[in-house]
Amino acid sequence: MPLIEAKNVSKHYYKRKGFFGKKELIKAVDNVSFSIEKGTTLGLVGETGCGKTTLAKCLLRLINPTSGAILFKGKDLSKMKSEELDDYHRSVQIVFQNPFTSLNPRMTIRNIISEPIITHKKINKTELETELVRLLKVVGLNETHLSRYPHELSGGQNQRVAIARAIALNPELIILDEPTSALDVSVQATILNLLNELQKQFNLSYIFISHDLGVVRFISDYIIVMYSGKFVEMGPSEDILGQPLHPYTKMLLLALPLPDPKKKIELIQHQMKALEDWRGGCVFLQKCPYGMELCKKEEPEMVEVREKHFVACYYTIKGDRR
Amino acid sequence: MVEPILSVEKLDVSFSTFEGLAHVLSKVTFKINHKEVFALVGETGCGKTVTALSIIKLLPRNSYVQGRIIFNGRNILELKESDMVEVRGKSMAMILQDPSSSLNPMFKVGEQLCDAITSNDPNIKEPKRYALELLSKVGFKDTERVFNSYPNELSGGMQQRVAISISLTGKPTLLIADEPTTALDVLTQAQIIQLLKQVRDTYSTSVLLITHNLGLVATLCDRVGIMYFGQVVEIGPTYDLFYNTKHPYTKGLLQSLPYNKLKNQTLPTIPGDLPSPLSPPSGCRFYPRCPRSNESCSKDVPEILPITDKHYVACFNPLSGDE
Repeated sequence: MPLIEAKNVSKHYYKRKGFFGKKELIKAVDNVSFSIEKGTTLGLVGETGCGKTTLAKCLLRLINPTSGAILFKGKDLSKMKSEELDDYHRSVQIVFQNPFTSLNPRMTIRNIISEPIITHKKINKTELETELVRLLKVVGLNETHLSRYPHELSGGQNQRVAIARAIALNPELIILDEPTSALDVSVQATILNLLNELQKQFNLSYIFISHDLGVVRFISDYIIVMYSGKFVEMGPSEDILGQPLHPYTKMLLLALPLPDPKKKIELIQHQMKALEDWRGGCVFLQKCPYGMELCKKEEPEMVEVREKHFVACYYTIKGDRR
Repeated sequence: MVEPILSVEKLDVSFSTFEGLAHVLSKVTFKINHKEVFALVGETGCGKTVTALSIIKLLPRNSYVQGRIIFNGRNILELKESDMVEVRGKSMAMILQDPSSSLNPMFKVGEQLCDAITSNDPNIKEPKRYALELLSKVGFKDTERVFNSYPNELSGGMQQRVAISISLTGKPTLLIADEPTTALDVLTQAQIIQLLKQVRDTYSTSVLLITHNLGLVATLCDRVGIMYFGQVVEIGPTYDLFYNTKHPYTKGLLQSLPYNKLKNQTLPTIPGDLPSPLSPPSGCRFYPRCPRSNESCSKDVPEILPITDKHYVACFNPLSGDE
């Protein structure tokens, strides 16, 4: 049984243009389904505003999805009782992008890490102290850091504190929302190593949200590419990066600046197509260099092209592939 | 030999703080040639931005600067503020990291652009026409609409393009770009990279790019300077630096990138932390973290010396080619 399964999850918002203006429907996340097995990492890739973080918030139950169901070990989140939900919140944790804003500057590291433990567990002072020291050791810090404040630590150390807080309650899934994009490359490497190590040690599952395909490739077993609230491609990470199928994934890969002066980036130039006759076709049509008549009329569905490799694109499935 | 556009010679910068004098830059030396994209690469706190701010002379008052910065034949450091006004924004312009905070949210894009145009050349009769022309040069098709929008109505990439168009108003010979794509995602970053290349070609501008993204360096830059803790440790053409790395720190940075590495591999990292600028280590500043250090490293500071005619390195035990 998968650890978490999302079935046709959508989150829609209404936006008003002006105070008396017409309501406009924004599909932040639209009809997405996926599952995560225990001990694996799922990479979620997409540009700003494509709904990655909204999806993460739905999984954390910080917001409720408009429709669809999220199952945790086979149980529907929306039908859980409060004790079961407590258990769920213990098992799913998050690490945010910027450790300087996600840690309270008025709290010492001791308070930051002990807060979730005190909230969820009955524990006496000495036990708490040994637990704190153990957690700090696991993430590569030591007890001298306990009485410090976040501003006294570096970005990488702060991110370690945030990770220590996330693993304090022995979670099964950690959602990592761009955990390294605010850090330097050498620090990024130490954090990525730490995450890999923790995964092996505690059999954790990760959802790794990022727009850096290079980092996602390194850490993920599976990758989902998102565009405008929808999944456009999903599959094992080596497949997605080695043989990308969706035009958007290809665009992302070609635009990624690699640390190799022999390789040049490419930007697929495309003419913005007039969208007068666009009624619920493919979300990517506006930017797609291969748009066909069919794409304007119908929305492509995720089709399994290779083993476990899904793509939502008529051109890839039906068109002449070069 | 053609004179370089900018040459920084033995630049020392220190700040007086409550805890004492912090030496932030020491003997930073490099030059930028005509129509060249030069990158300064390094970690947070290594002094990249301080270098840029000293070039454009915007350092805070508690700073002490020594050395020479020759720009277009004049020493920037000896210029009076009234003369600097003539240089800053005209022959030398800057693009900042986060476009949403470098544009004023209270004014329309057009007003900000026209402001920049008229302050550079008060005699210009139709600033709006020039502004629209600039906007189309940075890749906008719908220039009239962009001209009349507020910054918050534009996306991050569009804001950065507006910021670039403002920096181009004075037709600068040097453009300083301080992490221009860090706040943007991959596709927008690619657009900005192409735009910067285009700007360099059409305006014959030299670009000083400040970044920690080595991918960006490899795709955009002609030459690179690697900074560590206030010192330039290696300078060379991009290709040499990536394929014939000499300094152990550069090697460490390149190896720590996760690209083309498989899961379950452990990424090589640089051990230890950055030292404090209040008490820098004696000798080579990298030696406490360096895998190749020996006794002499802790005593003397290595000078930056040429290995080939274009490739310079500051290290007593540089890597040989095949390591």
